[in-house]
Amino acid sequence: MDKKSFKGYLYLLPSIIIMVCFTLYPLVRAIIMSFLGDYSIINDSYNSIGFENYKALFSDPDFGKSLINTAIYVVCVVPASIILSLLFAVLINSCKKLKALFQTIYFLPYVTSVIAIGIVWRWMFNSNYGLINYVLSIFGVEPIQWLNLPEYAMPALIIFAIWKSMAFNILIFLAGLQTIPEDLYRAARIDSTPRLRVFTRITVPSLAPMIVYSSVIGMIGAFKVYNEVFSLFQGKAGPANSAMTIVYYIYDKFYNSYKYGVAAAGSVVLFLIILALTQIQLKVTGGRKK
Amino acid sequence: MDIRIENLTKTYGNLNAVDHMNLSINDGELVGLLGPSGCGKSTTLFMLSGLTTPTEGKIYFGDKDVTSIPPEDREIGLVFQNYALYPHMTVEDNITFPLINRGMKKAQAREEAFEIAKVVKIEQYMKRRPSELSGGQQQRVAIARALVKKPQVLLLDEPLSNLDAKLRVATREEIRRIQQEVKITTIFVTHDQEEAMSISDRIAVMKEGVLQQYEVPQTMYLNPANTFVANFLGMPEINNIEIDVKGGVISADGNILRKGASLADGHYKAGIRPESFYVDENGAALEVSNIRMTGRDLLLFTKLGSTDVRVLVHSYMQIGVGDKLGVSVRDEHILVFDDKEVLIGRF
Amino acid sequence: MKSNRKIANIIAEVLKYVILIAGSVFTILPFVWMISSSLKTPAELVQVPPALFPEVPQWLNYKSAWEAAPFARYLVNTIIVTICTTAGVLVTTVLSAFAFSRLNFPGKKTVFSLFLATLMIPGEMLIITNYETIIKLKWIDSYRAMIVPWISSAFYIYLLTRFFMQVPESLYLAAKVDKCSDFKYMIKIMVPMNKQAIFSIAILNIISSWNAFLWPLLVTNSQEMRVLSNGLVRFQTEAGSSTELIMAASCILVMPIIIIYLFLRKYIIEGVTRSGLKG
Repeated sequence: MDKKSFKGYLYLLPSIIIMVCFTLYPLVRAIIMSFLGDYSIINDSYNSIGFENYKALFSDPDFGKSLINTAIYVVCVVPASIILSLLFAVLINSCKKLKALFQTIYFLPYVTSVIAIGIVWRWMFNSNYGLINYVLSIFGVEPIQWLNLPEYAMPALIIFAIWKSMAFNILIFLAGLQTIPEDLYRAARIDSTPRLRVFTRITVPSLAPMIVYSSVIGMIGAFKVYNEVFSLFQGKAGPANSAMTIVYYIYDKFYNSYKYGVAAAGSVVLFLIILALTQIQLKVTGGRKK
Repeated sequence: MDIRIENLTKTYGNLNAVDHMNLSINDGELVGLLGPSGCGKSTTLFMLSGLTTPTEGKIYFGDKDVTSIPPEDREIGLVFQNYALYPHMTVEDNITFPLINRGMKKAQAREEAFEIAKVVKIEQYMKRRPSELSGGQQQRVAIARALVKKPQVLLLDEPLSNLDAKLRVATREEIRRIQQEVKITTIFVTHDQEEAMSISDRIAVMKEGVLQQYEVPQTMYLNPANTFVANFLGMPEINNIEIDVKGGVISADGNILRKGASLADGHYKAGIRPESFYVDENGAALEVSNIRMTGRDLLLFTKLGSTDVRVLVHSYMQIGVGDKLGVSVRDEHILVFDDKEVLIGRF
Repeated sequence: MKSNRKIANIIAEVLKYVILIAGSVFTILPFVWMISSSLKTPAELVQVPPALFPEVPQWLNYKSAWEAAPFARYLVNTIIVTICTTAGVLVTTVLSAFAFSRLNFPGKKTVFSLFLATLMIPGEMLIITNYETIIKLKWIDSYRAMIVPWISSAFYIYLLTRFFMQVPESLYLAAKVDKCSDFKYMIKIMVPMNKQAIFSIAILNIISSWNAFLWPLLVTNSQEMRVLSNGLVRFQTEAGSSTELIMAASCILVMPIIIIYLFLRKYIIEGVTRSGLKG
């Protein structure tokens, strides 16, 4: 139709109201709050305006640790998950009859409550009766204090996170594999290309956009890790805060220490990091489209 | 319902998609809007439907000015190029949809749908989904849906372009039959000249938003208003030849094509259709460079001096590449245009 | 030469299945272990070496867990919150996607970009100030606190808009000519034509509502308002070392979604894939 009318806004109204009240307003509010010293939610009081919260944030060793942990998490979980997912996706894709079965199994962790399954992992990581230490003992490994020693807290979290994150990656890669024309593989076969070369020269380059996408989504996810930590360490951030993550830090400041300003400052930092990652993703995918 | 279009114009930015068009259509006529893509024929159709608002000009259905009446109140039926059938509804639900929207009771709507389905011969498919029908059947469902509300005018946008070649011929006859049976004023858009000529009562040829000619097909074919219309109608295409006239003798590149034409001496642009030549040993000499068998005819690609000329001859003629052939042009078969490319007459 | 290649192929095939099965075991082990632990006796739980399955399944564990905490109440709360949130999401998503895909209004592009831009805001950041809002609205400990903030999703709107855009415009024009209003067109044509996509969105939202943890934890404080995931965590603290009961409670939270998943796998996988391949 040629004529424009404002009727469209009537359809958008419910979404706009929710969006304004629970996304845009809180965003602005959080940014403002991050500049208010000693802010209290209860009576809206504060005693200074400035960078006080940011100073407190960056001088807090726990926040530093949360950044380091997140970095470790990203470096370990994202590549490992992507490489394993790529391997499984290619293998699943080459199955004919059992493809649907394997796909169903491998996607299972995606739909499962992190809280519930984290509690199960906690039980599996149990140092005395846990399944994992039992399996390791078969190979002669002494029982590991997974959840009680600071040096093993992050590895435990990482194993759990890889298990959880593979489901999504496998699904994306499987979908990506469908888009590779069968003719490429036929041509490779006629040229008697070795399997590994087919994988590195045809499969991986064709999946490059999905690999980039999964990496960025994985990184963004890593910066938001919370439920995994909460469930694995029963509401704590690991022994001696050894598995402290950014979001855990923010919630802890906000919910347990009532330091709303510092929590808001932390969330602004989180926002900026994620914004930067999203820009990278948009650049990469946008560049490809051209 | 007769239709009158006055000064109809649609402007998009600087572009005149339709430029001051005037057209009158008589009640019960089937009119083809013909032209290359981007000529404004679809825009014209959409303005008739009311889906596009004209920048300028008026549209009358009968005596009533409908220019500012919205599409749903214009009493038109519209068939889209891709049929626009609702894929999740059965054929019956598709056809009854416009009736139920107008508040008709379901039972009565079904009855009316069945009546119209019989006219377009799809009554046995009423319970099927569009995806279970062939292209031609879908087309007829779309026509049924357009006709079921008994509109005053039926508009079809490229109704045959989604069909394969064989079905296209059958379906265009079908459209003609349905149109005659329902006796409805119908306007259809097409870029296929053969399609337009075979079923239209009159054809409107458009180019760059401007109406070039509005005529009965035969008259238009024989007397195209200008070189554009001459070139657009006819397959194989007309030959564009520069001619010289001296004392009633028409020649091209010094080869005499015809004698005794009553045309003033001078240099002209001319159009000669491939079928206008006849074999004449004393005529102009052509050299055959290529041959296409089309069935009833042989299409010869030849050179007349330095000009390429297409000539149709009977397919039993024995002739090969490189052969020479003498031809002349039948009386009154040379279309002569002035320097503005407007038809002077047939000579 | 030929037989060598044949043998190599067989080895590769075998290796493939060995890897796939190993991966499958790794993937489903926590589920198997959860179910098996939930059916064991306390003695079997601490037995070395651990048995994969209990000798006699202790179905009573479920009854004990069910009675040890008000799980029935939690379940009802979870279902109420999940259904209301999903219904709300569907209504707002369909309305907005229809506006963006079919209607013309001033500022449409700007508003759509704004919606898309909100996808970059981490929800974790908003929780603090949203919590403040809920306190000020005096909504603490109510269903609406758990439901209202989540009944609109820019992400699903974006997803459905793309589906709606694939519906040819001629259908809309045809409906216009046939005297069909915008709203009726949305209900009668757009929604049924895209029912699979809408269904996928519904299931994805059911899963995420069901599994939601932190927000319901924040905005509720009484036991009557708790949802399953919060109840489970609370129960874990209270039940202490009764691992078999904790595992049974975990099953109560996980199993409904797994059953939905097994039956509606196609829609879930389709939905996640579609949303994943937007880049």
